[in-house]
Amino acid sequence: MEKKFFSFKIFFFVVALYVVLLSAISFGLINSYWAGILNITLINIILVVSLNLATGFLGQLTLAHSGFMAIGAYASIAVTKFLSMKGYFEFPLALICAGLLSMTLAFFISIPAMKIAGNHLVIITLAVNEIIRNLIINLNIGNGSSGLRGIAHYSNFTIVFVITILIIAVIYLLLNSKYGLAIVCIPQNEMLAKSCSINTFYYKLAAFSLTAFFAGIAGGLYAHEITVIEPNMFDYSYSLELLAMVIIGGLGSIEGSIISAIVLTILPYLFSFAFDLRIIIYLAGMIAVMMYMPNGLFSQYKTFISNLTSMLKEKKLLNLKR
Amino acid sequence: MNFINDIIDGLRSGSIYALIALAFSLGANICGIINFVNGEIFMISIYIIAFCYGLKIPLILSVIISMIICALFNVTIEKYIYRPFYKHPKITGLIVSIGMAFLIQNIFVLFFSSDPINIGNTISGQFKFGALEIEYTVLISILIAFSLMIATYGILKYTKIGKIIRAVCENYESTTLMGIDADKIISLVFAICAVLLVCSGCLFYLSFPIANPYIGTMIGLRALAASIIGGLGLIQGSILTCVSGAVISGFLIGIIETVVKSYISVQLSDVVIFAFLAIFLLVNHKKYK
Repeated sequence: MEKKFFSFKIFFFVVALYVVLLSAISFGLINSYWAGILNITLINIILVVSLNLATGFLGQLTLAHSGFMAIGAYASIAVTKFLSMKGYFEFPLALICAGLLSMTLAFFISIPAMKIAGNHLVIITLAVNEIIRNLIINLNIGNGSSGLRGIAHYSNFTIVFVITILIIAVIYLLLNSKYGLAIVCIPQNEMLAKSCSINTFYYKLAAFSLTAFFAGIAGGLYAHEITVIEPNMFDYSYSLELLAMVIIGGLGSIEGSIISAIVLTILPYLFSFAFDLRIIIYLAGMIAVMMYMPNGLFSQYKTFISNLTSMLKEKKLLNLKR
Repeated sequence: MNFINDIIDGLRSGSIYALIALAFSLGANICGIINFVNGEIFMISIYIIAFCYGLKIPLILSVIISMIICALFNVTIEKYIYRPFYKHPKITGLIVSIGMAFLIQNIFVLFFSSDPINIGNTISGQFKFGALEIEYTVLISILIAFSLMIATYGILKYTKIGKIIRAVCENYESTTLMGIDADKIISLVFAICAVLLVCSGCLFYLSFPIANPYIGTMIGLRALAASIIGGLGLIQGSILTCVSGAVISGFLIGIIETVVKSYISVQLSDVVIFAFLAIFLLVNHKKYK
C-alpha cells in the first residue's frame, strides 16, 4: 500500500481554513478575546500532538511536557528581550532558540532516563518538571516566582497557524517514514524491535528530543501570546491536562489529538462555570475514557461514521449508488 | 547541636514519609499499580481529624473514625476504578491513579478552597536530654512509625494472612487456583494501606500546625521517592524487602529534607530530593524493572 505524502484535498482545506479564519478576525467577526482563545487552541494542538508522539506512538509516558514548555518560554523571552530587532526578524529566531534549548535539555535528560522503563520513567519526568519549576523560582530567573510582565505580543494568528500546520505535517511525515515505523513498533514489542536490528535506544532519544523541541516552540508562542508568565503556570497539573487531552483524543491518533485539543480548550471558555471545573472534567473524562474506550473518544470517528452509514444503508434510509 | 536538632526534626517528618512509603510499597506490590491516591487519603485523614477536633471528639476516637472512612474510600476506589486495569499494561493503571489523585485534590480545592486550615496541636512540651531538647511529638512519631513497620513486617512474615498476601504478590493466578479469593486479599491490603495513611496523617496533625489540599500530592511524591529508593520495583525484591526498605529510606528522605532546608534553601529541598531519586535510579537502573 502506498501512502500519500501530499494530498491536495488536505492542502486546500488548510488554506481555505486559514483564509476563512483570517478574514473573520480581520473583519471583526471574531473579536480579540476569541482570537486569543483561537491562538491558545492552536498552541495546545502543538502541545497535544507532540505529547502524543512521545506517549501514544513511542509509548514513553512523560509528565515533563510543561517543564520543557517553561524552558522554551523563558528562552524565547530572553532572546526577544536582549535582541532589540524587528518582531518579524527576531521572533522566529527566538522560537528556534527556545526549541533547541529545551531539546538539548531533553536529550541530556533522556540519555539516562530512557534506560528506565515504564512506571519509573513517569516519576522521573514528574520529578524533572518539579525540578525545572523550582529552579526557575530559586535561581531567580526572570524575577523568580513573581514572573515576567510586558512581554511583546508577537504571536499573531498567521504565525501560530503556520507553525501549527508545519509541526503537524512534520510529525505526520515522520510517522509515515521508515523512522516512524521504527518508533511505532517500539511500544508494541521492544524485544522484537531490537531483534530486527532497530536501535530502540536511539529512536527513543530522537523522538523524545523532538517532542521537547516542539514543546519549547509551543512555550515560546504561549509566552508571546499571553504576555504575562510566571513559573507556577507550568506545574505538573498542566502536564496532566495535556495528558488528559491526549488520552481523550486517543493514544496514537493525530486526528484524535487535534479534535480533542480543540474541543477541550474551547469548552471551558464557552461555559463560564466550567472554567474552574475544567481540570476535574478533564481528569474524570480521562479516567472514563480509559475504562470504557481505551482507544480514545475521537480516534474512532471514522469507524463510528462508517458504522452509522452501513446501518442506515441496511435500513434503506440512505440511497447511495452501489 | 544545631545539626543534631536538625536530624531529630528530620526523623519527625521522616516518620510521616515512612508510613506513606509503606502504603505505597504494599499497594504497588499487591496489584502492580503505584497508587497515587495514597497521598490524597493522607490529606483527607488530616481534614477528618481536624473536623473531629472542631466537634471536640477525643483524638483516639477521631483517628478510628478517620480510619473507617478512609479504608472504605480506598477499597471503593480499588474495587471500582483500579480492578478493570489489572490485566492491562501497568502504565495505564499508573495514569488512572495519577488522574484519580489530582481529581480528588481538585474536588477538595473546590469544596474546601485552597486556603490552609489551622489545626490545633493537642500534644506539646519537651524534655531535656543534656543540651538537647526533644519534643514529645518526635518521640511519639518515631515510636509509631517503627512499631507499625515491625507490626506490618511481622504480620507479613509470620501469620497465615501474611503468607496469603505474599502469595498474591508473587502470582495472582496461581493463588486463585489454590482457592484463595485474591480480589478480597487485594481489598484487605488496600484497607491496611488506608490505616497506615491515617496513622501518618495523625502524626502530621500532631507535629505541624497547618494543612491545605495540596499537601497530599507534595508529601505523597516525596514518600513515593522514599519507597522507590527503598526497593519498590526491584527485579529481585519481595514485599518484605520493600516494607523494611520503605521505612528506612522514608527516614532518610526526612533527614535530607530538613538538612537541606536549614543549610541551603527552603524551596530547594524538593529539588534535592527528586535529584537524589533520579540519580539513584540512574545508577541502579539495571536492578529495576
